[in-house]
Amino acid sequence: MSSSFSEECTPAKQKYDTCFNDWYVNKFLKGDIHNRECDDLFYEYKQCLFKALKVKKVEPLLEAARKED
Amino acid sequence: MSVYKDESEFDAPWENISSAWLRRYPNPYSSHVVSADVLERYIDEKGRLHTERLLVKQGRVPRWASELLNVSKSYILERSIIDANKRELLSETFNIDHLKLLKAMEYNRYQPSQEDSSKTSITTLAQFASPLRLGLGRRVQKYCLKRFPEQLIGSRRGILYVLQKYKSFS
Repeated sequence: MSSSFSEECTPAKQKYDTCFNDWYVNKFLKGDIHNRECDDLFYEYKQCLFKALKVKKVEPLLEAARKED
Repeated sequence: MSVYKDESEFDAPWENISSAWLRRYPNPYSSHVVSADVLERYIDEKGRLHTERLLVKQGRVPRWASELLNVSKSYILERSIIDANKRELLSETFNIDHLKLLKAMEYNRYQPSQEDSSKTSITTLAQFASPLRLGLGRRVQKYCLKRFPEQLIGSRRGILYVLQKYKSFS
């Protein structure tokens, strides 16, 4: 399983990834798209990730890329 | 701008390929991809899964690039739309830094092969545009174009590697 670009987020990311991978194969691909069992784990992971994107100054790069769309 | 097009086929059903694609990092053929983060993920009104990921690539930078701009790391944005009904995965990837040197875009479409729906066909389109002047830009684009087929083989081997590793898919 891949790491987060910010080391301290890797545990939360891997927990979320495990949930998502299982959801993708066993729910999404089988047409069960309304099941949201990984939302809480995604939220936790995102809290960590978005803080890190700010601290490590990646946010401006993302904003510039989105502006170009 | 330089453009590269390619079509290929995987001897595995679309469901397995799309699962492997989503979890293709890390793999020994993409050791330069050091991290993959999910920035955004949602299901749209048509039931399609949208994902935006941030990839960080490290090392493996040509000497002229590191000399020119002190490049050793690059941030890549990857967006995908997965339609399980249509059995289609669309992706686009592009760098969001070092844009003064190069903008590299890659588009892929994965869908069941027309002749045999237990196989998966991939269509790839890559574009390289460098804003550098004095003929340098053209050289950069040419360099990328020359290296791309090899990278493509690597990324496909990576997907197959992950596919083998998780044989229990779906």
